[in-house]
Amino acid sequence: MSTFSKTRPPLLETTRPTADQTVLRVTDLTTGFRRGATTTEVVRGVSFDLRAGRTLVLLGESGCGKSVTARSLMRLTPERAVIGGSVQLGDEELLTLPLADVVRRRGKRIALVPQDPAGALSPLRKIGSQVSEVLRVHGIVGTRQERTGRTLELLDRVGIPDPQRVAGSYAHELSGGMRQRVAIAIAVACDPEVLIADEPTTALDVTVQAQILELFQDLQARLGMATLLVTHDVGVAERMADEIAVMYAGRIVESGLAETVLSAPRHPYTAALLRALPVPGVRRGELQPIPGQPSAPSERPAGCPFRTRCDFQHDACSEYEPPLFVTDVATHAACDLMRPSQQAVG
Amino acid sequence: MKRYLGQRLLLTAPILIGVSIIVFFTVQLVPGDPISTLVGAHATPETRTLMTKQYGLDKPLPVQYVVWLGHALQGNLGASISQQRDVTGIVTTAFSNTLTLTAFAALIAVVLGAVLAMTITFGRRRLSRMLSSVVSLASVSMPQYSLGVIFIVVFAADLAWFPAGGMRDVLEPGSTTSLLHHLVLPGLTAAAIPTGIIARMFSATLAEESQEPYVENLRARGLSEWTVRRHIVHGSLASLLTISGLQIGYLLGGVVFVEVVFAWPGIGQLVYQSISKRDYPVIQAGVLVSALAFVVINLVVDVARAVLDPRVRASGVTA
Repeated sequence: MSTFSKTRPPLLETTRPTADQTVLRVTDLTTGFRRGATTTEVVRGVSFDLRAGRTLVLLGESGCGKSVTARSLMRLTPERAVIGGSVQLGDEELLTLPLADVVRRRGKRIALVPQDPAGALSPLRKIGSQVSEVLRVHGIVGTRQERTGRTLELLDRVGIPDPQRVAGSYAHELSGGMRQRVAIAIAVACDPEVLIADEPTTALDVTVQAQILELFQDLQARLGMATLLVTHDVGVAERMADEIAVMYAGRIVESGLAETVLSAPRHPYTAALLRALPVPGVRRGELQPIPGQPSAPSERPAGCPFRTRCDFQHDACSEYEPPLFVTDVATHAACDLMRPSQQAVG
Repeated sequence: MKRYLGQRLLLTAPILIGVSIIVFFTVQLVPGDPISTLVGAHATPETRTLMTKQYGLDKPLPVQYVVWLGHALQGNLGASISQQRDVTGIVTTAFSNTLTLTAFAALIAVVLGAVLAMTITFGRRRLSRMLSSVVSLASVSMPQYSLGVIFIVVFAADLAWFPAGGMRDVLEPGSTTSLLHHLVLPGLTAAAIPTGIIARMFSATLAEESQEPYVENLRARGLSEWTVRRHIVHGSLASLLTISGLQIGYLLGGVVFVEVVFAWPGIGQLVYQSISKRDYPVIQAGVLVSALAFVVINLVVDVARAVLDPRVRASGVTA
């Protein structure tokens, strides 16, 4: 796939975090949008760790707050957003750092792969100049010639067969898959410690999707990035995740090792998501969609927000919003059914 | 690029022919006839017939058109009926004066309009954003003739900072300083509406461009806000060009008022006077030259757009 040989050293000689070391720690992240005097909370108390060389998949329906979570980490939210909690990159707190300092870390230490590469690349400038701009802005490479060389290397690294030609092309002259490879090249240009991919394959054909996912795995193995992959696609999660966090109504409702969460879901929402997944051999009619829709952030019901769509609804569900309980399979699930009997209702 | 330019030039030819036909025949719709103006009310029928023949006005209209077009293509726009002079000379002088005024006004409109638009969109203080918005709205809404008269009363009559009319100093007709001095009031008057329109439309474009997904991605790459804005402006330049091109075209047409108010010896004033004298050749030539300028400006805008935006080059000529 890539002509870049596996034995070649990474482009940058920096001190990398060793494998499994926590690179990004998110604690009690809360993001709300101000409208007039009211603030609508879209992300409510989300916590997770990203580890070097590992992929955490943030799984959920559209509107559950997963994209806002991803953007909050980089403080890419609009001005009317209020972000609370803590996002620690290494030993720095990104939420209290001056914005200008966060800007300098974007693209260098924490990078984003967009959902729609067609819209994410600037239409007016050649691919090469967009890649080398990132190298220049972050002071990675000194001279213009070195930058050109590095740009071609990067394009080659993401499996673009003819880097010279692509560097001289405009975005509209490339296929969707090629554009996404370019977007990935830009994201990994500065060897970031954290890579955030927001639905990176949603806009692509199925065959191209597989190639792009393969590229992610390849790059992660080589560069040891901590990856946060945001998706609504259980298939993608199954293939990519080391750990999974399932989001519903702005909260993580279930989290744990990918294998365990997928094989032994403990939250009814996760279970329902898995039942709605098309599996080869299962006819379409046998899929079970989740009835109803998630309620809008402003009109969430009291108690568990999933209870109105849940098969296991009972009296306790409307009394409180369950915190994450430790389950019998060592995952965490925010469901009253998982409440240890001796624990007091919070 | 070459292919684009070729296509675009080819498209210009039929437009120009269409314009010339419309110009020629519309002028015939003006009530009254030039011979009466020329020979007076008491001329004998023989004199009238002779004069009509002499000016070729006895032939059918289509023949008149072909003859006129043939001459026009050779740069000969005929003789003025009222001034007994070569139309080409009259129109060239007047048109270059109009171009001077239009170019000055266009410069003000584009620069000021773009600056106002950027302040409206990116201004850090609420006050500066609002002020720019108010200025642009006011300048769109102000009728040219009242603005011109206000300028004359305040800056020419009361304060005596600038001359109230004319184009050159009588004592030093070649002086550039004096020309600029004469340009200020008519230039500002003509520029007011286009400035406001450019400011409002360009700020809308900038706001829209800021919402493009690629802009968020530029931020995600770690580019400073300043650089991101530069890219937003770059992305909006094609629209600025189109808006400006249209406005400059309208300026050429709309400058008639300003020329009359400030006694500017331009094409607007010339056509205005020629209409009252039924001087067909001058009206035709004046309107034709203005239309030609409009077409040329739009051609330049389209080509500049193609230079700026690779997608335009790729998609070719569109309507």
